Amino acid sequence: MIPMERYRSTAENQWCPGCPNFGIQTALKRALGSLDLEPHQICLVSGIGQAAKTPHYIAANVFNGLHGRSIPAAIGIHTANPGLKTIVTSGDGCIYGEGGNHLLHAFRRNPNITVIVHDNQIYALTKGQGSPPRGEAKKRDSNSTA
Amino acid sequence: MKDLSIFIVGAAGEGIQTIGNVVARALLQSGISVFTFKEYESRIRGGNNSYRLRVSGSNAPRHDADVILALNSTAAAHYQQTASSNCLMLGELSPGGEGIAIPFQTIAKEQFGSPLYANSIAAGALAATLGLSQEILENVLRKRFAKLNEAVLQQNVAAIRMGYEKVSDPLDASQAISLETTDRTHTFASVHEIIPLAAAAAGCRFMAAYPMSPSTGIMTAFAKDPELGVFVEQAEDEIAAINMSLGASAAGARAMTATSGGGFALMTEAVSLAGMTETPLVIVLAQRPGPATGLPTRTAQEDLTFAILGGHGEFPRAVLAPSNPQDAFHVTLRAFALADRYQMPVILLTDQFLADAHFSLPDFAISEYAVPGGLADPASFKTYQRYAITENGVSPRLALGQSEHLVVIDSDEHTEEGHITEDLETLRPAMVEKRLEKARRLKQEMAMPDAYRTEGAEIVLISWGSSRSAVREAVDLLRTRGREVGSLHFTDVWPLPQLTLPDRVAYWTVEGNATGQFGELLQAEWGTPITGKIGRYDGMPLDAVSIVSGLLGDESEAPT
Repeated sequence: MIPMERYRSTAENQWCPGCPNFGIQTALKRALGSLDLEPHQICLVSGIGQAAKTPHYIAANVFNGLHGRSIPAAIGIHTANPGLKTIVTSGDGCIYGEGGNHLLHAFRRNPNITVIVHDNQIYALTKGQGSPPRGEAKKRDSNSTA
Repeated sequence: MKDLSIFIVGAAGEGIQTIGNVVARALLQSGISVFTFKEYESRIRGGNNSYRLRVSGSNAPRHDADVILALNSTAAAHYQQTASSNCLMLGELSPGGEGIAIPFQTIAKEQFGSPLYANSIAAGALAATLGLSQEILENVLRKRFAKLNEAVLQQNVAAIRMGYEKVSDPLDASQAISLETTDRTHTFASVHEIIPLAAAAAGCRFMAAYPMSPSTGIMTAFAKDPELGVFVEQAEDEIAAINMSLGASAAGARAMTATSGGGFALMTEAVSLAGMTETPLVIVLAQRPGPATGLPTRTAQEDLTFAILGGHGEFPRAVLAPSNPQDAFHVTLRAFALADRYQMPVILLTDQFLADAHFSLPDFAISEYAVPGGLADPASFKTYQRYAITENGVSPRLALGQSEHLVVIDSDEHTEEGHITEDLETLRPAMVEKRLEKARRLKQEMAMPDAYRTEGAEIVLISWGSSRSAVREAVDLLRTRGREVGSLHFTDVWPLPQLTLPDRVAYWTVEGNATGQFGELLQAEWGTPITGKIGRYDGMPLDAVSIVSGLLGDESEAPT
């Protein structure tokens, strides 16, 4: 078991106070610690969005690529270095929307990578538009400004 | 030796390529250099298609035929317009057509019980016309169809003999073509067959692509030949292909992808990602005529500007345009070396012509070629920053997971460590300057154009990429007519090297496009005045005759 402090990143966190991404970040650090994975044995891969900033806030190798394209990048990384624990951590708009096709084909290819989708049903960074898993005919959140 | 242009014409699926290939190999084994290319419709069966052989001429296409071997009468009629003045027509002639009529299909059915033997009869007939040794042709056939059972092979050999007999009977002695055989040997290859070999020699280990004509052969070549040691993935689309390749490259595997114009359009966001993350990548962009789907199986040089500019933001890249297989071998090695040295995307600009045309080259050894490794030694760092600011703009590169040093790669503007930044005062300008410093240094090592017969030239033809042989042939033709013409041919098309072209020379651009893209580039970069432009944009490759007539206009018809 590696203590969580070991994964502390030097990057300044940009999330809002109380953001659910903190919970995912903590859970991920705990999981990595319980697997005894040192930061250099891990590669975190993401696209674009608030969730996609997660890799910056955990000490590990990082490939923060394009919106929607984290899974193909992760497949390339995993193929070139199968010993590196490769984990995708990105938002629902990124993985289900922009990159939906890649997720579909990742199921078929079934590479040994983990994909964590931060599903909050909205595009938070562009101020509250609905994302793919959003339910039917819901009004936009009252706190959205755009 | 006589320059001879042979067209084998027929429908897709009828076997023109098999016949062409067997005859080409027989010519090569007879010590005769041969150049071939094919032009075909975008369909699996039917249509009018031709496989063209040029014997003992230059490695450039001719669009007129001295011998036409027709596999069906529709094709014979269609290609009648390409016949040169003394053209010999052979095979299934059009109604009323002159030549040596040989009903391949009927003979095959009557004599061999199956139309499948028509191709061997046709190959025999063509080889007989060219005066090729029957023994050599049979050996080539046996080698090519070694997997067939002996009985079928025997039938094919008998069919070849039948082809020989059909020609030798009625052939007027004046129609016999005598080719001078030699004991020279040649390497026979296309540019797209050489690129995978060169990539493997350069240490490429990962390739992801999505099938798109005319680039597909590069992906399948890796898949067919595990000895090359390159992992191939057929991606779900071009976007996935290039992002996979970038991921592999970031994790330390030399990587490439290949596509055509439409696929490159999908890739452009990731081309920019390669620029921002400073990840080496080689991209083959095999051009075909556009816009949109255009002419999928034809050739063009329409994507030059797109290759140079495709991708948002400002970052360095190199665009290299090889012209023949031997050249392509070295250019591909150089592409991987430049991609690593400057940590950037490098585009190899080819086209359908280079994908399909086979050149006879003096044998060359693919022996000990190597591209130096692009990764730094982790032990040389106490702490590591992926985007450390350096004097030459190049930061020592470690791969993801290479060592205990953490590597942070980011598509956002980033700190030296690789994390997101919005420091507009210091870091943003420093990172922009760092990337552009690489571009400045890259420019210093771009190669000069290849000058051909430019001494005393009043007119200089400017060309790039696949047209080199055709332009040289045009220069020779024009020189024999007393014209003081030379050529400058570019392989390094971006960035352009530092060069001042002499004035008092009329510069004409020769390009496989309608707008003269390279001419526009030269005017913008060097202020070179362009007197005229010769463009070919009908989907067929540039040839010497059309270049000469493009330059001289009506005058080209005048007797010399």
